[in-house]
Amino acid sequence: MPIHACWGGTRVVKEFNLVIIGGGPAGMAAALEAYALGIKDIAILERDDSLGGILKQCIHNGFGLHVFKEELTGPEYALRFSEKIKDTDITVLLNTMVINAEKNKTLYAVNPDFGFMTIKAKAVILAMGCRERSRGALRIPGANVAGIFTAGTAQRFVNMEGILPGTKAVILGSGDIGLIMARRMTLEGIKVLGVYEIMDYPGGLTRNIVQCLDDFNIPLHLSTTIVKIHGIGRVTGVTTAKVDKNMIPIKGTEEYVECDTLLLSVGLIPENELTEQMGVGMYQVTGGAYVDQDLETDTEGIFACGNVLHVHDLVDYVTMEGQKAARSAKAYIDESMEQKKTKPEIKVVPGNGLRYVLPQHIYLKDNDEKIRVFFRSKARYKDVLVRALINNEVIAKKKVIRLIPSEMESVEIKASDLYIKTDNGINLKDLVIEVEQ
Amino acid sequence: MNYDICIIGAGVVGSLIARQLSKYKVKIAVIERNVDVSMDATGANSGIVHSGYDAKIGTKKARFNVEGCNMMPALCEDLSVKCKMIGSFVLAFDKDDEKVLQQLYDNGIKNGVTGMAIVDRDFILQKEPYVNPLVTKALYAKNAGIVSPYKLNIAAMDNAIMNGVMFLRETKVTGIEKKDGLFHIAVDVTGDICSMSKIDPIKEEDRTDITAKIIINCAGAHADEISHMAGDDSFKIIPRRGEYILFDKTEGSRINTVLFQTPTEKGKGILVTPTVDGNLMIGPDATLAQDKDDKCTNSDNLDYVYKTATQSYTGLNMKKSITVFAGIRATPSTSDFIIEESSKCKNFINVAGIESPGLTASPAIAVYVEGIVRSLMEMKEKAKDEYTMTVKHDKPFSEMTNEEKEKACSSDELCRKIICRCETVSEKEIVAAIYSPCGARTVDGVKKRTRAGMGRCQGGFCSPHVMRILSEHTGIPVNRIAKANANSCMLGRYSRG
Repeated sequence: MPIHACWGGTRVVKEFNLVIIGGGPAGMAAALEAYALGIKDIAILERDDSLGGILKQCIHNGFGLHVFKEELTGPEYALRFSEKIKDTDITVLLNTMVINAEKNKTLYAVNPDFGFMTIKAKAVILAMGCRERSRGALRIPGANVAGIFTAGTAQRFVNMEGILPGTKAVILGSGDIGLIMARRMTLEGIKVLGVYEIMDYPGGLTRNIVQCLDDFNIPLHLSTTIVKIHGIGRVTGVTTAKVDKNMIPIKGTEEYVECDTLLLSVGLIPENELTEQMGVGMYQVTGGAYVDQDLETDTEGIFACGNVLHVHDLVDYVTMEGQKAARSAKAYIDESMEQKKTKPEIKVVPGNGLRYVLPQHIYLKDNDEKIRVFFRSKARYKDVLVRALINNEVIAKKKVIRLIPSEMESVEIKASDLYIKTDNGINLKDLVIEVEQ
Repeated sequence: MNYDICIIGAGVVGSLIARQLSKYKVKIAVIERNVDVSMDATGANSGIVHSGYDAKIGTKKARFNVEGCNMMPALCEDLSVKCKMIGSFVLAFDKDDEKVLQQLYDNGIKNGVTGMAIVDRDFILQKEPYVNPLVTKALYAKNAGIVSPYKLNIAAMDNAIMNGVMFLRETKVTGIEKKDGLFHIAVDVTGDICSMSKIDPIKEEDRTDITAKIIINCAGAHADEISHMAGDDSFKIIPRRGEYILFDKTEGSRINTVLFQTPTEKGKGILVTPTVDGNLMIGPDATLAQDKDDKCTNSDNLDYVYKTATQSYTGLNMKKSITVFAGIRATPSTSDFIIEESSKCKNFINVAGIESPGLTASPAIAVYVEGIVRSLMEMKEKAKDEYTMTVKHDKPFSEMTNEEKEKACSSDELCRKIICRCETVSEKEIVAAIYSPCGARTVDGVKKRTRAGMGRCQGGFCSPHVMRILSEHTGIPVNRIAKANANSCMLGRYSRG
C-alpha cells in the first residue's frame, strides 16, 4: 500500500491496530508474524533510511543457524525479512524518529515526508534495540581525545562509510562486537594489539574468541583493564593494569600500550527512554521492561521484544522473541487475551547463581500453558542442575553442561504445576529459578 | 593587518569584552590558539552564577561577582542563553559548619548580596528531598543560579562577530614587540580547519603582520606568559585542575537548587547542581596541575568527587553517569583578579587570574574593561543601527511544544530530520550552528552549540551523521573532520580508493 494513501487532512494523525517501534530484527519479525496472523493496519516506525537495524553493518557471517538452518551475513539475514515485508501491506515509515510517547499508546514522530505525526495504536510492540555503553558511562579516566569509539560505531564507519578508525588499536571489553571488530580491523590492515577484559572470562561467544582472536593471533588479556587514556588531541596510548578479584586495579601491574585507537565493547544498554516516557515499569537488572510470559509490559497492550527487552546472544533468538510478541499482540487486539490483571500472578525471581530471569512474572491463565523462562548466570558453572522451585518444591530441572553469563539458557515450566503447587493460585509463592548447590 | 585592539583569548571573558567593545568604531581582533571559543577554562566550568557572599570584602572578586550576578539574567536574555536563577544552599552538618554559614552571611551583607537567609533543616529537605537528612542548617541565597558557560561564550562571540569583530582562530600568539607605541604581534598558525572551511575561511592577510594599539590579555592559564611577552612579570598563574562527573537528564529532575558544602580549611567541598539543560553534575575538586594544558581526569580524583558529593546528596546513581571531564583554572599568584593596565607596559591590559567566580563576574569585568579602554583611547560609538547587542536563536526543537514542532516541521524539511535522538536535535539546528557567525567547525563545536552528542549515548549514533553534515557544508573531507583541534581527527584513512 502506498504510504501516502493512509494519511488525510492537514494534521497528520493516523491510527493503526499495531505499531512496531524499530525496524531491526525484532521489529521485522514481529511485523511479519503479526501480518501472517491476520492483523490489519500494521506500521513499522524506523529511524534509519532502510529496515534491518544493526544487522546492516554486521557484514560477517554466523547469523540464522537456528531460524534458517544456514549461515548468513547480517545484511542477508535482514533481507530475508525486509524483502517479505515489501510483499505485504505493512506500512513502513523510514527516517522516522519517535520523539515522544504516551501511556495511552499515542506516539509523536517526525519524518521528512510527513513532518510531525501523531500516531495512535491499539497495541504497541517495543523493538528499539540497544545502545553501547560509552566511555563516559565507564568513567575511564584520562585525556578527552579523539580516537575512542564504541565497537559498533567503529563498525559502522568501517563497513558502511568505508573509513578506518585509525592504524593501531586496543580493544577494551570482549563483547561480541569488539571481537568481530578485532578481526575486521585486522583484515583492513589495522594492527590490533590486544583485547583487554576486566572479568576473568570473556564476554563474547566462544566461537567468536576462536574465529576472531585465536585465528589471528590477537592476545586476549583477562582480568585486565584500562586505567588511563593518554593523548593530546588524539589517543597516543593507554595504560593497562591487572585487577584483583574485586576488579580493583593492582598497583605495580601497569603497562603502557602505544595505540591511536581505542574500541570499547563493554556492554549494551537497552534503549528504553520511550518506554519510560510511556510510564512502563522497568526491571533494573536487564534494563528492559518488566514483562509477563506474553512479553506484555505492566501497561496493557504494550509489548517488548529483542534487545530493548534484554540483550540477546544471537539474532535468531531476537527473531523468535519478536514473533512471540506479535502473537501476544494479536491476542490482545482480538480481545481473546483474557483479562489477565484479574488472574493470580506469580513472581519469578533469580535464585542462587543467576543474574536475571525473564519473564519476571507469570499470570495463571491457562492450565495447559507451557512457559519458557530464560535466565543468565552470574558466574561460570560446569555440569550443573538448574531447577525451578515453588513453595520449596522442585517443578522443573535442567542439566546444563556449561553455564556462562554470556550465553542465555532457559527452562520450561508447566502452568499446571504452578496451579498444583499454589492450591489453584490461592496460596501464591514466588517461582525461584536457581543453580542447585 | 592593523587593528586598534587585539584581545588574546576567546574564553567567556575575552569574548564578552570583544562584544562590549564592538559597539565602538574600532577595529578589533580576537586571537585564539584553539579552533573554537570556550575550549579551556570556560568550557569545563561549573556553570554557577554565584551570589557573591564568598569573596573577601574589598577585592575585585567580590565587586565583580556581585555586579556580574546582578547583570547575568538580563545579559543572557539579550544573548538568548539559558540562565536559571534557581538559588543555592551552603549545607551545614554540625555546629562548626553553622559558624561558617554565619560568617559567609555576614560577609555577603558586606559585599552587598541580597536575598540571603540562614534556613533550617525542614526548609532544605522540603526543597531538596535528596539532601543528606543529617543536614542541620543552610545558607540560602536566592540570587544564585546556573548558566551554560560555553553557550554564553559562544553567543558573546557570535554577537561580537555580527558587529564586525575579527575572530582569528587556530592562531597562537608567540611574541609581542612594541615599536613607536604600536604593538607588533607575532603568531603561529596552530591548525588548518578554519582555513580549509569554505564558510568564512580565515584569510592569511588577517593574521599577517598584526599590529594593535591596545592589547587585552585574556589568555586564561597562559596569561602570565602573554604578560611576560609584554615585559610584565608581576604575576604568575598557577594552574589548578577541577574534575567533574555529569549524569543523565533522568537524574537532573530530582534536584532544584545548587548545593554547596560548607567550605573548610581543606577546601570548598564538592558541589551538586542541576545544569541548565537538565543534567545533574558534581564536582569540582582542586588539584595542582603540572601542565597548564593537562585536562586529563584521574581515577583517584573522580572517586574523591563522587565520595565527597555523597556526603551532601543521597540521590546519586553512578549507573547514570554519562561523562567525566576536567578543566584548568587560572589561579593568580596575587589571590585576586588582575584587571588593570600593566604598570610595566602602557596600553597593555591584563585581565588575568579569572578563577572562580570568574564566569559570574565576566559581564561586569567586560564593562569595567570597556572603561579602561575608553580611558586609554578615544572611541566613538557606532550609530544605533550599525550594531546590535542581542542575538536571536530559534528555540531548540527539543524544547518546543507538540504544536510548535508540528509548525516547525511543516515549514522546514531539515527540521524533520532528527540527527541526535538522545537530545532530539534536528539537522536544521546543526546546519544553523555551522553557519552561525562564530560557526561550528568540529564535532565538539556542533555538540556545544546544539547538544548533538551530549546525551546518554555520547555521540555513538549521531557522530557519523554530524561528521557528514559538517563535511557537506564546510567542504572539509569526512576523514579530516576533527573532534576539537586539528590534531584530533576523528578517523583515519578511507579503506578503499
